[in-house]
Amino acid sequence: MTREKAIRIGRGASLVGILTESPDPDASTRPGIVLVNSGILHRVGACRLHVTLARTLARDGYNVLRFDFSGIGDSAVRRDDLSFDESAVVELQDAMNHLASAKGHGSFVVMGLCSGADMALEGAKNDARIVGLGLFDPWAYRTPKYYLKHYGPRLLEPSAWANAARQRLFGKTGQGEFPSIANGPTEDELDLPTYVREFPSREQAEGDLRALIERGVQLCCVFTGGQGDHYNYEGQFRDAFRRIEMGRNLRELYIAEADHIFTELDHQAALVETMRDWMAEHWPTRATRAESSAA
Amino acid sequence: MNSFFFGSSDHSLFGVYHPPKGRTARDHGIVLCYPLGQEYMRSHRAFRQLANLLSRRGYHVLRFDWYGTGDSMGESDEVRVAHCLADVGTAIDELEDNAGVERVSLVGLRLGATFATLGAAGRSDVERIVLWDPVVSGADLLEALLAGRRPAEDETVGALGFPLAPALRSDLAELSLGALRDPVFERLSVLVSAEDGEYHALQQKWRAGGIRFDFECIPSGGNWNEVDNFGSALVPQELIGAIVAGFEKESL
Repeated sequence: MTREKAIRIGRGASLVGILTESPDPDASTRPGIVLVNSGILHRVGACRLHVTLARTLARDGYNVLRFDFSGIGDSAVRRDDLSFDESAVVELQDAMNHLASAKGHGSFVVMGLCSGADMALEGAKNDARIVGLGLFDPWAYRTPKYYLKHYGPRLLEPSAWANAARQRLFGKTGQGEFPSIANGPTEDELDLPTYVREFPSREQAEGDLRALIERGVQLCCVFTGGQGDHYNYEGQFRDAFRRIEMGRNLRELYIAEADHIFTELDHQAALVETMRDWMAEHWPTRATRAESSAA
Repeated sequence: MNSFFFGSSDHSLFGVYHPPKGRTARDHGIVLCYPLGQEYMRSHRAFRQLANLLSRRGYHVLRFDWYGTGDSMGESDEVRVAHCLADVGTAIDELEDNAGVERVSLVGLRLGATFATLGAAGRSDVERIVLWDPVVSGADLLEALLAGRRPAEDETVGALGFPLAPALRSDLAELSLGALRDPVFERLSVLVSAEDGEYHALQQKWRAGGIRFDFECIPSGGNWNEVDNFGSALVPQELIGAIVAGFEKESL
């Protein structure tokens, strides 16, 4: 049976997390899993998805830690001058250090949605202990096929041409930011960290990705229709970085009908099953081997 | 602030305790009761802020997740009204035992208000309950969540990202604040962000039943029961301020 513990980690034990311990005695021989916040959603994840993921993966044989970055959920605010993406990497390392000392893990898989995916990638760039990334709606880059799918059916509609002209005139910046707090106080009053999501340049992204693949990091990227402005067909991520030989280091899934925070139960189940299957492929456990033998 | 699990090993609840800070501790604890589903997600930030403000004024504050919600034990499709009503008592006992307080009040939002009121109705140790935008009729909420769908009797359907299992649906259909009878707590305060026909009906019913309460509307934008593409939060400052001021005023 899995067991859950409320823990405090980081400098001054200021970060709140939940450790879901696997009943498998060999769990520490596999990567420990860390689930990170998406936007301002606290550690239970969008629609409580991180709780389901953590418990399911723990039953399969992995120890899972989900925690709140400083200023998010129940974690205290940092009083230093680190930006959010700098402090997030430090705090992700705090989480991994806790799993290393408490459970004996030497390697880690980090999973996150949206800004959580961005922070997981930042962490992996900075810490070689990260051997796998589960990225839900990570950064995406348009390809010729994207444009064909996007504009193809509308090429004969005059309004589509007008919109395209307008976008060219006014341009587009950024890809979003932490969601708003309706009717709320200022960020200072709430002590919320700020993070504006901007995809790195394609060159920068390609360099980062190449380094990760060369290091042997496994990637599982799940995209939703909620990010349709940037991604619209399965395989687009691989196409966008076709100069990198990713082979089996990349698994890519597109759930076109899903929204960005997986509000449909079927889409939640599909995400959980994808992550289970991907983990089992690269880091099999007694339970996952038994399940695949039975199947 | 301490985060911990409490309750029995097969019905473990997650709680966050905010000890009094900045001034002399009062002999008064306040239990905060979250709503369910997407409303829980949207209100988590507001509850953190409310807990901080109350603890800075000397109160012992405990906010906790119902069984099958948040970090508590149980899966999302296992939420039952009877569990929630029992969880109210478990949380009050926990705060009394750990903080050593003899006076306890509760603040509940939406279904949390309904559970707090019905779950604590028979307890003589509860001083005051604040019902914040309470759900008056579970059946009405259910209808809104189903949005015209008619699921099969044994079918679990999703509602704004969370499962509505058959058992919870039948629980909600029976749930009503109008069913409150002879509460023993001293004060009942209803605080709403918008005037609504169902609140007028509730007031009439309670008055007819001899239930003493006060009612205040503090107009405030935003809807708890919705979801957007990013999971935005709702933190209505005026209402939070009014709840805190209400406790301050009472203690003078």
